[in-house]
Amino acid sequence: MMKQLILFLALISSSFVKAELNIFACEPEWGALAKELVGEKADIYIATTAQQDPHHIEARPSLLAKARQANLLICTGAELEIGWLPILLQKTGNKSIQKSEQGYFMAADFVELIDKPTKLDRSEGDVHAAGNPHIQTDPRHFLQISQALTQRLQIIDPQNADFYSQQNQLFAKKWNLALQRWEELAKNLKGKRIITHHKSWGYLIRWLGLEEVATLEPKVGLPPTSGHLANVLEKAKQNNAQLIVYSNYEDSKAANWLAEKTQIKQIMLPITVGGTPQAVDLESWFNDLLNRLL
Amino acid sequence: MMRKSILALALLSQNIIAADDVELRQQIDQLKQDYNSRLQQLEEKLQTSSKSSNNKNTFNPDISVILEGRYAYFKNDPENYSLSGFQLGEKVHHSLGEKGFSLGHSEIVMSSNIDDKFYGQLTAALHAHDGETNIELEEAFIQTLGLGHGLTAKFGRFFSEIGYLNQQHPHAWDFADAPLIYRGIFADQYNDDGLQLSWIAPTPFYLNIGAEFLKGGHYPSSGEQSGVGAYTLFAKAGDDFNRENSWQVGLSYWKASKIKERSIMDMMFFGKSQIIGANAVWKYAPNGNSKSQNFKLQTEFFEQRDDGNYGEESIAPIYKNRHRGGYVQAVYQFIPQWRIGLRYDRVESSYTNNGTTPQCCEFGKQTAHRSSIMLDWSNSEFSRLRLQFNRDYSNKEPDNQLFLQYVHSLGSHGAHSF
Repeated sequence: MMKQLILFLALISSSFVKAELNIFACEPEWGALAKELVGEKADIYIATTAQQDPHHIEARPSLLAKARQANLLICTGAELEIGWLPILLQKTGNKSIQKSEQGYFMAADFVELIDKPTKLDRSEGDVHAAGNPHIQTDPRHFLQISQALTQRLQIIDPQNADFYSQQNQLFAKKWNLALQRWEELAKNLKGKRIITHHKSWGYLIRWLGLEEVATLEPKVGLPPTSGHLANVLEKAKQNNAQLIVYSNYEDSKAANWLAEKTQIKQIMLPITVGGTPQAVDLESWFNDLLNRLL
Repeated sequence: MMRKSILALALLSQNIIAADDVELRQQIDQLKQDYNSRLQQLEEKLQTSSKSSNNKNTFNPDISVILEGRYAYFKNDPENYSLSGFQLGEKVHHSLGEKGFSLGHSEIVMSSNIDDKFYGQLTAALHAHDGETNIELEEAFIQTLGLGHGLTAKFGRFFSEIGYLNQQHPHAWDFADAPLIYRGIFADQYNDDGLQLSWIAPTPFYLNIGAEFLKGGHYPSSGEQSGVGAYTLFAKAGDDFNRENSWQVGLSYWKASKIKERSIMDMMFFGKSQIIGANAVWKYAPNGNSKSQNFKLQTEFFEQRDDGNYGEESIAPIYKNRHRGGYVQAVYQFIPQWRIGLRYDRVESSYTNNGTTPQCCEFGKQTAHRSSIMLDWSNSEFSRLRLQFNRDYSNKEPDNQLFLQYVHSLGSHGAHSF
């Protein structure tokens, strides 16, 4: 009976095993970047959608099954996935994606993080010791990360090393052109005073030279309260705020309320690829993001 | 040398004294400005310095502390509680709680990767009861990391993978107390010392099978055991229906063949015991984003069969005890931070006696049931306040129970399993 069961399991499992590269991307932006580099040479599974807050994900059965088969894990890092990634690493018994292995790729390791807390205390909210993990909102980061990811792909899949290198050059060329275009377009945005829902846009603010007046969350990760919103309203008036920004997965109630009170324009921005119907890949996502801002 | 420098200092100070007052002020101001700008530079450096500066504790284990306490109202005296048709493990008499204010399940959890191949965890629970504080080592295990091929081995003391709720820490439970069937057959929660092997199949959906080989020293087993006193087999499968809906089902089996002196009040059980269990969980979140709204439906069923004797190790088992039951519960987070939950429990038991002298138990079939409703508020992921009401028909007299409970965790950020 036991033998038959094992045989059966071996049979069904062998039919699903594929020899090629299996990439597990924690967030859509890394899935999209991987797609630019690997083309059809790998299977890419994207663990979260743009509609999900990547901080609030459970290590669901489907994620365990997919992480079990991955040879390359591409995540943000900087504690963004702290609530679920450790379980995937512990439970799946997959050697190639463990921290010590080449299959563990954290994008935040390759860029300079901002908003590092000078003190670590939960009374400040759910702060990240490593700094602000929402690195995808500065498009310049993708050049560095793409370079690092290419090197990693070449180690994991040396057969296609030349291909990855070519793809990376193509991407860099395309991306540099796009950056020039976006920066030209966004010139007028410089110095614009904005209010954001969460600290998700720190890198975009730095890139475009915007000015963050306040956040709708009273503490990082805590939903807006009426008391805090009253303060924000005051600040918005004092500082002559010009724009209210929230991400597509965030509740728009607080933003709407403030917009109504202050007559300031509020806009929803796609936090990643798939955040809006227009944001289908990396380039179209930033196109849409800037369109909405302008 | 020393003399020279003293001389130089003396000269210098004379010079300064001789200098004009205004000049001195200017110098001081200059110095201040210099220092201010340097301090600023240093602060900036601190802000943007590499990650390592924040990670002084890298080699210390992650530590989290769970603080739990409650105010409880019982219409009947909880000291006299007994679950109809069950002989409860000794632990349960503490876990039912006390009237009024009491501390619940305080826990200290330490965990860390040991090296690239092993992970370790220790959980100590502190119970305060009747003026005494007991420390119970709930978990102390090491576990392999990335053994390969989906395999994981765990050694030490751990919560068994039997059932769904069993391996969750009580602070992660959705209600202030354990389901009746858990109370009845596991004395709330089952852990033991041993080895666990688990394998995740390379299938597109989640399929996990495993086995545990245990010492058999913990309730519902008991006694000094040589070798493997109890074992479990478990299988779980799960997947997403779509981006919004996920599911998991599980089957488990437990057996202990040579239970000795399982003490129930003043009676000792000798014999064998088997448990089979089945469970199912369904979770839903609009757009898959559980932060603002989510719904969870979970149900479990267990059946326990005891064959043995009371009082002495006998050649032929005289008693056949059957316990079965389960619960179904639904928890709905309707707005951020607020959840409401309903639970219904039902257990039944029957005893048959092939011997002549009934020493134990009320014979025949007995049933018990309970309905619960809870409302909880979580300010953040780390704090939760809960109000729960039970209408409990599991004792001789129906009971009304009310709990006001806090469950807070401090320290390192916990991870959420399904």
